Amino acid sequence: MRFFNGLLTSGPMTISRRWGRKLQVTWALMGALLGTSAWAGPALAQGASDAGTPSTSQAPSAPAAPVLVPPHLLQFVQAAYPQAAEAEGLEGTVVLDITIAADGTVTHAVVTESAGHGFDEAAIDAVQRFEFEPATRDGVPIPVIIGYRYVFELRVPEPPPPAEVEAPATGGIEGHLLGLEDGLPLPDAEVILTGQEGSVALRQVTQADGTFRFDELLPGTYALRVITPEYGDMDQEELVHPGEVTEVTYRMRLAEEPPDDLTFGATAIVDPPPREVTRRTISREEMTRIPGTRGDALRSVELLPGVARPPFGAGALIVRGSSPNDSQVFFAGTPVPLLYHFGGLTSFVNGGLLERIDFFPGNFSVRYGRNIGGILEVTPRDPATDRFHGNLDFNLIDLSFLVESPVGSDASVAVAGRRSILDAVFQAALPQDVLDNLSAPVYWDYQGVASWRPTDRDQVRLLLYASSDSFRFFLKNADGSDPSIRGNLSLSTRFFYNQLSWTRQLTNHVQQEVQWMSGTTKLHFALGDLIAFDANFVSNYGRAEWRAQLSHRVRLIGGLDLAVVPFDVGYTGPALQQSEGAAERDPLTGQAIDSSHFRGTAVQPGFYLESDLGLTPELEVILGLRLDYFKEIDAFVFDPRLVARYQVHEGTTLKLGAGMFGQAPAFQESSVDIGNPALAPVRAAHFGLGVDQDFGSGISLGVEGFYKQLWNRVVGVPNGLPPRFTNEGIGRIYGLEVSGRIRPGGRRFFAYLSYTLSRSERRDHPGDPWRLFDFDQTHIFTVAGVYRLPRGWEVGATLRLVSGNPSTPVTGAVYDGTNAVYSPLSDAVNSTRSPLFNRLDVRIAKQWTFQSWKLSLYLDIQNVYNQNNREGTRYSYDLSQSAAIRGLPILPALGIRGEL
Amino acid sequence: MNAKNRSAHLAVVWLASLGALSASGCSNNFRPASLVNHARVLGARIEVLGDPTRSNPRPGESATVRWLVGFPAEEQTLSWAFLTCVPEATSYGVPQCAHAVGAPAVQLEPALGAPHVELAIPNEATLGDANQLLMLGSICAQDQVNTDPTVQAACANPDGDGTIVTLRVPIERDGMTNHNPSLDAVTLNDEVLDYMAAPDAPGTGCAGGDAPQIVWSEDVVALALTAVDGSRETYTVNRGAPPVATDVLEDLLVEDLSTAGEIDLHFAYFDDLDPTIDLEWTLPALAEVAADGTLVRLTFTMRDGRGGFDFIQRAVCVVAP
Repeated sequence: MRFFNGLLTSGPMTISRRWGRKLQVTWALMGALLGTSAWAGPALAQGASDAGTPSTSQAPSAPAAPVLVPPHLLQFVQAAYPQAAEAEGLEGTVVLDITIAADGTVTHAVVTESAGHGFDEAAIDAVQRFEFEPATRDGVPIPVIIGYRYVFELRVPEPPPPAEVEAPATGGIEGHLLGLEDGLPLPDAEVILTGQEGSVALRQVTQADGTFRFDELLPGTYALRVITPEYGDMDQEELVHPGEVTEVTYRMRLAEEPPDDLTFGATAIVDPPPREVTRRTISREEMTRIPGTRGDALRSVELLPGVARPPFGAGALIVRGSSPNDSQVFFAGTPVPLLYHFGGLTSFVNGGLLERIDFFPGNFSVRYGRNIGGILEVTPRDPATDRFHGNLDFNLIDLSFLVESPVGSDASVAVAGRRSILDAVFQAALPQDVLDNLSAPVYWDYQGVASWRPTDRDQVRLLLYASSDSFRFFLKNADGSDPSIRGNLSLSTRFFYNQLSWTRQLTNHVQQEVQWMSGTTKLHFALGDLIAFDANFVSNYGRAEWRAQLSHRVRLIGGLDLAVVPFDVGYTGPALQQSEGAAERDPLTGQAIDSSHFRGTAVQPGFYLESDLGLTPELEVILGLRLDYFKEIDAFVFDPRLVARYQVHEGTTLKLGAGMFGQAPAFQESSVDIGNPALAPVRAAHFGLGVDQDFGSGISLGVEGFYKQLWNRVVGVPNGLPPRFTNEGIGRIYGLEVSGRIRPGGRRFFAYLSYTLSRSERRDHPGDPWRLFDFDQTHIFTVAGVYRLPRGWEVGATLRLVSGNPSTPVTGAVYDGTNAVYSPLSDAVNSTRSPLFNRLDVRIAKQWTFQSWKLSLYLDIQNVYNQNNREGTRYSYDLSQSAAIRGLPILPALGIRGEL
Repeated sequence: MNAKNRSAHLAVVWLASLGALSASGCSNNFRPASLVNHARVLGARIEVLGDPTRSNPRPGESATVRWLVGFPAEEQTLSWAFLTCVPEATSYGVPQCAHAVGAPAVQLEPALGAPHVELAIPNEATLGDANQLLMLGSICAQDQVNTDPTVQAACANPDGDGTIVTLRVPIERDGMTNHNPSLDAVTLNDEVLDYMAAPDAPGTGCAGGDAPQIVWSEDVVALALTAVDGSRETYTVNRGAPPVATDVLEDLLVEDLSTAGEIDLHFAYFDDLDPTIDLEWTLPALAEVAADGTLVRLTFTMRDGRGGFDFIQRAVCVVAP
């Protein structure tokens, strides 16, 4: 899991480690030297910052199909370490221009950046003995000049093994080299493996499928260097265990297109800066391995700092003290209505299709509008292009599959699906004297992804995805406390979306992305004759964005997005109250029933402009402007936003963010029939200040303080009197988030820690006292770790300690003689709180690897010690007695998965 | 699109609320809802003066509101205080008064007898658009009723056994007369049960007396209720959007109560599916049965949801085997 640091970025993978003496790979110097058009900033600062591949801004895509083929190193020569420098413990990097003749020999080498202390001479001596496969143009060898960086590093010698210890069994390293942008394998890349004290120096060239392998290696740590002319170079360290093969996958970012004068350069690739103060990203590798999530990638979001715990683990996204309504989930850049099936059981998309999950708890880019809380961007990956893959997963809750395959040389497709199996056991578990099962709870979802690259400048992607939840019961008897609760009880949520996107590299410095989504959403809920809700939406969402690298320090992004949603809503039921902050609710029996049916079309265009400025190598400033229009309330919202990042020194980055955010009221709140059409947009101001620190060796820590001010909140008029809703509410939210990550080399272990200290308060009407937000959680502490053991075993655990949710105590009751029910009399809203929530989840998995497929068995146990957490309070019929509502007990999920 | 997100959230909120609400009906350590173990307000019957079968008086008429209070054993003294008013047009929450109608009715000191109020319905001009009156009050057993509006308690003694109550008195302004429904008969183990205990009959010592004798056992006792034919009236209501005048046949809500043991259904309905209500009554634990017999009072109330109310009371004597 990647939090603040971008160390393991999209590539070339940059690592800062502390092992013996400090080892550093400074890509930025190379990039600056060769004058690439990428952002020039220290790579470690980039890594220590909250960088990563931006969820939406992409590096320039692959250049045109090469007429030119760069030279390829065939024979690497180890330079002699200068004795004087070694004696003094000095290290250095020499940058050279190397002239390669048409026959592949080095004819000239000149130092362009000196390291002194004899390093220059040693480097020249070595490179002059390099042998290359020459560059070609249209297949004809040509002379070229390339840039090359030679790094001199010291290594602490390993102590010799004790004599009485038997020679350990050997191990190996098997790797897979892929391009980041397209996921395609990188053949013919040079991989050089060096052992400790130079004990081993081996060389491999990646196969057509991008793989490489070293066998018969003694246990220990090895340095690997990957050299590709187009993608630059990369250094890594890997650990070899006896009797095991260490598997690694590297993804490398394409270097900039070489200049026209045929000078090829190994370029430093520095990621464009993040467009948000804080972005927390979960990588594909980690998202399905978090204990307590049952392998559901999207559930891992709940463990990030700033995310509150919803009751019963329901899937509401509560971000930095904001209502779930205030945050939005995006899938491939377009908003989706629901994240989880049945409010929290499992997410709507197969985790195997996801590339990355980016979470923006606040101060997000102007690319996102119409929300004042947080943003969750779920990015699907392109299907595999090497060969057919598939997997089948069966557990006690559902059955899912995923298949993907290349289609020709330019395209690939993937199809995934899932269906619950709860209905198979539901009938047997049903209390027959209470419920008749008319239609058992069922959920299903499917996704289809097709990716096509008609040219090297274009990518077209088609997404089809759908989700469905439904059940229908018949309550035979009236509820003992509220007699209107009887009869038919049914729920159905369905959406079907189709999305087409086209990304084109217009020029070397300008990229265009256009996407359009259309689909339908149907919602239904009914309870007897008392409540009926049916809503149909035809969703249309489009975006066009242009990204221009004006100079190596200036980047400009402009775009527009549009939501056009015809809707048809019918509602019969009690008058709607404000969605948050209501006291204990009255029984349904005896409430006045509203009936309304309204149609319309919501039209919400948005325009945005953002500039990324590198004022100095240490200081970046991102300025953004966004303008939204909400046709349903005829209102504009103008949102200026600012983000700044300052690298204090290597590994330490300060960050600052401030911005305005706005969103429309919920449609029922501004409805002419059941709401108040004169409502204004809800507004928020976000402020954030923090620091990210990279300690090296895969350890990083981030601390961020935040403050949010809300105004124009929509609140209900007491007792539902006209105009029913007003904009009188305000809110304030403040807190501190701490995030830590440990991911040392070797990929056997990762762990993360998150802690949030916060306070979220609301005031509903002028003169009212401040009260707590419904989901205010003062302390949210999570620690999780996953360790990969030998022989395919993996274990992990997650511990959560969270303050209980606030609640409103009932102090008395009023008997309704007309309807034979009791209405609660309450104390101050949210004036009491449930006890501390604590839960430990564990996960154990075992994987068997066969020649062409893998088999996994996993056991994911939530609430291992069966803690009786309190989720709320229930009352007797007359509200004179109360008892705790307990959360989920120990919940094991056993599953088996096969994968090609 | 925020609208879809929020409407989906709306559905989830309803479901969650329903879940939490239903959880309250799950088996737990709560006292059974059907058990009358203290002075418990059970409803109120409105009778138009001169035509007691009608439950919704017309403007200018008079009506009597008589409250039904159940007791765990013999009748207890009661005090009460009521205020009648034209209500605010609220959509939810405890109803509020817009302006008072008439003087408050107060029985300050406890006395035997059901709380009752004589109402003089205002004329059309005074009523304005209101189609109902609201009665707010408190009923307190064996103690003085609280008359301090700043104190949220039914009795002057905060530990007293009392209930704050509300009642809506519908007023006929649309020509649609509503009548009080009528319960017909109660059977116990398929035999008609028509014994009614005197209000002052003690809760024990009934063995060998006039009350039907039931020998204690672990078996449930079958109870059945019927309503008088024609109790379910047809009325016209505006339904749907746009509203359409629709004829609807009343469903009658029955509340089932006993002073000992537990009845399986606290609420049941006379509706299209159930012309007869069948209940199962679990007798009290043997340790709770007095050596000389325990008199158990059964009370069944019935409402039509439009102000109509009826009740029927029976009694049996449970004796130890």
